[in-house]
Amino acid sequence: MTNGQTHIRVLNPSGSSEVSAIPNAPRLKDLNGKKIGILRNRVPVGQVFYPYLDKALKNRMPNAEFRTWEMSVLADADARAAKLREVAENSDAVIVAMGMSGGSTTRTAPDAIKIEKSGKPVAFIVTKCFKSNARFLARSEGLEDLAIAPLILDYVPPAEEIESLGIAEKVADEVARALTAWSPEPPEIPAIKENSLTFSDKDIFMAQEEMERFFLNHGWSDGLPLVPPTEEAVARMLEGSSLPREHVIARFPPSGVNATIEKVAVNAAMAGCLPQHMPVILAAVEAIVDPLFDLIGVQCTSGQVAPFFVVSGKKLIAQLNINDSFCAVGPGWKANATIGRALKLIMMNLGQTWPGINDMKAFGSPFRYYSVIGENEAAYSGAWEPLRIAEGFSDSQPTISVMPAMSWQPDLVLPTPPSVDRIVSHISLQAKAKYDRYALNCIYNNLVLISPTAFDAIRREGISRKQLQEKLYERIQLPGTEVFDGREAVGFSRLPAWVLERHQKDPDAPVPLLLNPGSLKICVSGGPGPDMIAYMGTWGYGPSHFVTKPIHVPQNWQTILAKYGGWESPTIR
Amino acid sequence: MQRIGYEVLWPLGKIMSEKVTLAPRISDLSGKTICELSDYGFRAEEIFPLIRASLSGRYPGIKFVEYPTFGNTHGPQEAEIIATLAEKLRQYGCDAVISGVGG
Repeated sequence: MTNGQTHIRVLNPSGSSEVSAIPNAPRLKDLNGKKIGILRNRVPVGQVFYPYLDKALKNRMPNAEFRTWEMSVLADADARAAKLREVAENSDAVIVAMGMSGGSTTRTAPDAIKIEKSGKPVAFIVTKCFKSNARFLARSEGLEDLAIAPLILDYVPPAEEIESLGIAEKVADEVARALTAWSPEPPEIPAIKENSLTFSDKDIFMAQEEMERFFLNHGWSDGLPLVPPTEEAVARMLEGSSLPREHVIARFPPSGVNATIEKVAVNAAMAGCLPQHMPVILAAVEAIVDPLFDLIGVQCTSGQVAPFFVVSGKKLIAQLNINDSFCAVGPGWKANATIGRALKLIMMNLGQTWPGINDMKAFGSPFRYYSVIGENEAAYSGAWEPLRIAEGFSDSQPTISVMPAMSWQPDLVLPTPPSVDRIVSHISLQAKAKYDRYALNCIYNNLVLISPTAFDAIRREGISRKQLQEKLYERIQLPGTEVFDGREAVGFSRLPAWVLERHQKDPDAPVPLLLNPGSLKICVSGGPGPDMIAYMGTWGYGPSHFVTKPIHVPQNWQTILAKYGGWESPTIR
Repeated sequence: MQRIGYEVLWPLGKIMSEKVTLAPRISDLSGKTICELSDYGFRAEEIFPLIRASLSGRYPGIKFVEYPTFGNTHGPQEAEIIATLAEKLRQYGCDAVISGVGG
């Protein structure tokens, strides 16, 4: 305390990208006689909007020569790179269209960024609310800014309103400005470069409140009270890792900030974690940054997706007091609550995602606050192998799995006790209810949580995990005429070739909604009582998969557990 | 090192229900009238007959007023059924009640 003031010095939970800033391409003096490339994706609203846009561009720039290319948002990296080269080489300036959701903006803006980096000026067309998302992505890729030609609305309206509001004409004006008279602007949220910050007030509580206000104002908070990440608190957290604090785990999407052990520890401290939680958090970070999880999509999409984590490992679950029983999904357990919170703070602060700027979820998700459960291994009573073994790890290796949870539907299976056939029927009905026709989300990994009592019914009939998965694969199918009903869907390309070929020959043939039996993940968790089953539907606009990583504890593990133990919630096990 | 302490307020609330003494137990159920109350869930239709059979074997003359007589105590008419329950139990000469099934 100095001068009657109490100070707290805390570490910066965010970070800065190591990418050096590349200036934008020079703009053209005018567009007369210029070759303007139009690179467009196949978003559903494009079919309505693109004809109006083409007409408006030609009217606005009568002396320009236009050439159009199409690019699927699902195009693979090589095809994408080749097409971008072709567009850039054959154009003086390029219009990239269009972003109309978090996902389409996030998938399409990188094309605009690459062309701009190649030296050709780009105008990127987005609906109004996705401007900030596109500009953020440009800066995270090292570009100074991205020239946006926004629609005047947050969405593409019906054709008559496109005409009556002159939407395409206004976009054409914005395109001309973006390619000629545009200059970069500073970001919406300026980066704080200092690695430590000091907050002062008359006592520790008021100083902490100052810190919390500052953190909230700078997008470093989930809105709940934060534990000050002082050097001492972070040093304690680092005891839970044997890696050096400067070790880089990954370049974190979408910001490109280096996720170091120290930055993870800062966010873990803020979330209220204990040092012994660090091994779980570090494994979880490795899981979400695995390209198979598609974190950039999960972070920026308009879909209501959140990572949902399952810890498998009886001994570790007991050591950390991770809830795998009553109310496993929350609330009331320090390990579940703070590990889950730390991961969401890491996604926010290292990913640098903020609601409405580049985290574009329409509703968000409660799983953004609380989403770690333990696998209730005791409930298997040896009848099934635990999830970690099913995912290819040894029994002695604890793991954490992550899935992109879009929805969940916990339900009682009746009549009790249910037969396996009834359980299969119940799960398949839930799966079909969660089926997203456009994205065909079922193709990715969905998760079924089974309560210990419902599992008893499965055990009683001697059904293995693999057998249950096979039964579910057979039942989670829809008639081909229902899936292929004449409307376009991005998910069709995700179906196995044999399904598409069979449909050509027999339109009524059923279409399996799972890629294969093993793609549906199953885990027992929760408390005993009624026969409860929760089908957790995945997000379909990835590809975002179920990813499992090993949890490695440091050598001084027992010392850490002894030093920082004692955080237990009251319960009857 | 100076230790810092601070007072905090109790985050819970007081239980406002009045304490009620449990009704006296019946020493022998023989010849007594047992009323059944059910939420119609968790296999009540299987469990109540089993209980009836078991108790009838153990207590001669025991009588049961079966749960459909009273209606579903956890259904849409719950408030109405509970409001008239005391009167109905008196009407049927009830000595004891079995209520279930919690699941």
